[in-house]
Amino acid sequence: MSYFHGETPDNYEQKCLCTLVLDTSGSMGGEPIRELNRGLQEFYAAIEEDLIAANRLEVSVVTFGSQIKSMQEPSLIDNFDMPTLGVGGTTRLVDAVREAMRKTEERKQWYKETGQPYYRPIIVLITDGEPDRDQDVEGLSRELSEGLDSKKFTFWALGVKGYNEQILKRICPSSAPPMPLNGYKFGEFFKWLSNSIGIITKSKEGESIELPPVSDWAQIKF
Amino acid sequence: MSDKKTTDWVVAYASAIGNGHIQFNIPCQDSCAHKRIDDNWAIAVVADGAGSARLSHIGSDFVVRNALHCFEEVLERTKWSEENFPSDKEWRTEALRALQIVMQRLLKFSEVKEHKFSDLACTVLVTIYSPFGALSVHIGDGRAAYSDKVGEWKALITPFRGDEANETVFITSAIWTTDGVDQFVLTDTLKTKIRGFALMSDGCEKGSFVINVKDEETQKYYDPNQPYPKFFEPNVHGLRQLKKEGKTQEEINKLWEGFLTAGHKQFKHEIDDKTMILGVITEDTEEHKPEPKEEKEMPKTTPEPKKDTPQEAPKAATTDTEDTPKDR
Repeated sequence: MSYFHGETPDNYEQKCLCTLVLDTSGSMGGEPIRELNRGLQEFYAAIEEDLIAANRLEVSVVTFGSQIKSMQEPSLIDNFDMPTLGVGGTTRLVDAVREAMRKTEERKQWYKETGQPYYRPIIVLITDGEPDRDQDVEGLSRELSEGLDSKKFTFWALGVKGYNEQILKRICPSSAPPMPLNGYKFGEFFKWLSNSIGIITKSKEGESIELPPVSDWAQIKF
Repeated sequence: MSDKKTTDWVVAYASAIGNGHIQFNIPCQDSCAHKRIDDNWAIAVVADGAGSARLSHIGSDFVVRNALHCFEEVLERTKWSEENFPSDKEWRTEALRALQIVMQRLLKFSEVKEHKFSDLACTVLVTIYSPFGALSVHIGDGRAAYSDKVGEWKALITPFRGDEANETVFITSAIWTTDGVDQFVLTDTLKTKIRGFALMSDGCEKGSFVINVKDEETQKYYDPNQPYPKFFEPNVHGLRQLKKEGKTQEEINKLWEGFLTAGHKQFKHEIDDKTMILGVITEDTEEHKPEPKEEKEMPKTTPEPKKDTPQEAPKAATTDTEDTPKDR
């Protein structure tokens, strides 16, 4: 017989927002976008299987080509289907990341206003190109640095084959250097991301978080 | 009241590794300890190692052992009793001093072992309890509860929370200044008859406390910090049963660890490590009486003990399950 048992109270879960900023410019056509779409589905499935993450993680999706599109507003994954992305246009990368930062701040304010506990939001940029010439790379770099320093969010940038390493390095603050993707291993990357979210949602204080190794999908170790 | 007969307690304490830690091969970073000092007093300690600190499992183990030692010294020296119960101020002075010694020992330990101090980061929660009251001190999060003489479960402490859900402070944090101590080392005295108490790391809070609910009127969420009697009472019963059956402390703790690991739906899915110390007096006396009825009929709050699977709340009690997102 079992001596110990007891009922579970009804509690809401704390929230963790992850905004995916995805490059859907023309150069992502073909294999890259196919693999990215497949990776997104796998990410969705991995979170769905993880009962805790599924109740905590809110995903939002912003895409950029010549236009910035909000494909998905922040939401628990049970409440939406992962969109299938198409490609086209140029690379308004800076505007898209800014839009993600704006959304993140807005959502955080909403968490605060409604008294909901939350984890530090995550912004993930995935790009294979270089920003359009009129994009304010330096300005974005500064804003990202400020955001990271004041612990407003965590930022990861993933460079896909053909990305401009020099420019992405300029954009990314030194504490969050770009991560080059090996081939089109989006599936592996998203597996790592969902695992990392599992860890982040239990981390404490802004000390160094030990995430799983990235060797499965990164081109080099860093 | 010196002729009063000694009150018997039965206690269960254990730490169980969380799913997230198993998955990523991280050791259980929680630790706990319990020690009966005399007929009146016993000490219970819980420490939750920081997920982000590399050696926090070593830190939490060191902290619970040393806290036990330091607070035992306090009890021996002060000879506190029901008649000579400490004031808030007396308790605070002693508790701060004792925890500061624990911190200094940890610092020394880190130097000797050449560990980074922050690598040993952990929260700490100490409760010294007796049938006539409880004294608590804590740094960081975790929860504590007591059951008063009429059987009502109430919170014993208010956990510290930062802006972000995973933010808290640790014994290793830069809090050992006058202001820091005021803000982050929190003490509570409770002078009232108690029949039970519980201390836990935050890994157990969702399964046993009401901590995040929505006020339908304002549409806002808040933390009522309310121990859930339907969680505690069945386990009060279970503990007493084990005592009746003459189980050893080791056997009780083993069963308790099993329960914390997977004997409850919320615990089974919890990522974080789970520690809980639950103690109750062995029977409700006139002085400690929860209900006019026999305890066995505890009621609407107690589901029938029948199988090894976790008990779920009846439909009427919850319109939603834990596995379903509740807002969007």
